[in-house]
Amino acid sequence: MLIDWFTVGAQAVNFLILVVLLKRFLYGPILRAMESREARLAERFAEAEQALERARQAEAEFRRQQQSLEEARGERLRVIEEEAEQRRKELVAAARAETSSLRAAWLGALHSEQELFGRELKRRVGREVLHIARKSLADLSDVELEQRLVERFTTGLAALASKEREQLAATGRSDGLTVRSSFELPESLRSRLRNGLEALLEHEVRVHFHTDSELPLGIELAVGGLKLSWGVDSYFETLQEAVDELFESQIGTPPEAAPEEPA
Amino acid sequence: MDISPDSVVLWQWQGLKLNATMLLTWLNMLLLTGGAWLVTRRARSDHSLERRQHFLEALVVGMERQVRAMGLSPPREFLPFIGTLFLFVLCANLLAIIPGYEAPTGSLSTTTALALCVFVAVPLWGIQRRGLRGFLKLYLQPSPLMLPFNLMGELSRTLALAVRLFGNIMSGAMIGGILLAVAPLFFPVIMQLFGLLTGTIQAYIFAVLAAVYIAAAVQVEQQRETGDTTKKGDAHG
Repeated sequence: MLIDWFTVGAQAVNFLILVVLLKRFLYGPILRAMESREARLAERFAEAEQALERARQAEAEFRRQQQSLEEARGERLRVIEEEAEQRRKELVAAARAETSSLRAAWLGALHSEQELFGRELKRRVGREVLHIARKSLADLSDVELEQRLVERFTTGLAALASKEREQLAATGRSDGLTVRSSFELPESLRSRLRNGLEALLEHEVRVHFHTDSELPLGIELAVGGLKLSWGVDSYFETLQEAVDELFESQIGTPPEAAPEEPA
Repeated sequence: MDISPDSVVLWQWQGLKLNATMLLTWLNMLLLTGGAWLVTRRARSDHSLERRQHFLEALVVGMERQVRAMGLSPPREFLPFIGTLFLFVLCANLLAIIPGYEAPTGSLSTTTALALCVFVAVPLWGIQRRGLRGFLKLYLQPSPLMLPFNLMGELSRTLALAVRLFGNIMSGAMIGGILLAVAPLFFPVIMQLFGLLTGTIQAYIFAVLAAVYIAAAVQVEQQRETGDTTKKGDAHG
């Protein structure tokens, strides 16, 4: 008989015992260890996920802060640039004002110097011209310069308008007339001048003669607001204008008309 | 030459006896349990594992997957029974390579005992899942006329389970013994190698068939439950 029923029973019991033993020593511990490991791994994954999430949040926060810092920096930079621009404009305006005042002062000084120079020039030129004219007139003829001047002056008086002649007569009758000359008039010329005036005004006049070295070569008759003169003064005036033009061209345009400096 | 190790009686007293089959089974049990204990007593759940624990984990997980693939759910409920069937048969068959060791699975008594365990386990799980009436109804499916055939099929498949394993292992040992007598130099080695392959395959077949039989008793219930739910859903719809 191939089947021994006692052995069958014993083997069945053996097998069931083996099932219990392996469940106790093999499947149980192994499966528990694996479950524990899986749980731990899951926990670690969860922790890693949380850490990743925290890192993402921290990164987002960092980026937000960085952006706000950038914006604040840009804003501050803009304000500083505006302030700097404002300051620059103020400084430029102040510098321009200072330059303008300096220029005005310089121009004033230049004008006064120009005036002085012109006056001095006029005086010297007059003296030189007088000297030259006198010498040339003396050289050219035996007629003295003073005489020619007086002749010319009396000729000019004769050409006066009637209104001016009346004003001259009124003043001459009451206060007398003042004749200024750049040189000492000799008595002969004085009487010729006086006679010329009386012939013009048709009555006797008192004439006061003054010598003024500041006066350029010529003779001047001042009556109230009326002023009659003949001499080189008009030529001096022309010379003065020429000198003024020269000064103006060297100084350039006046500071008020200077072009606006670009901002 | 003994056809079964049952006939080698080592000790006998009144009705009790100790034969080679039982002794070798104990040895087998000792190896399996002792080996498992040696590894799992220091089982670690962290990431630094010993190779032996890795091996056992791979083995257990592999068996669990096979059980799940058979449709048994949850697999851990069935794993100790089916896994032990596989390990016991595998270990017995592989140890047959050792000279002087006769596989206990080469004893029809042992394979019968294992087949009887399956024979009992199937209705136990079936009744547990379906209840007694539900399980008994299985024998009347698809018609009550099929009852005798179902019962005969139940018995015959148990017998086939026992005889298949016994026949394969016993024949392997017998052929080895015969070849040893006829051509002692070369052929027995080849046959022993074939024996290893056959033993492994037979262990797998035995465990898988047991799983299939149990699943047949359990899965029908699951399918019916699914079908009922579908019908209810349709009725409502």
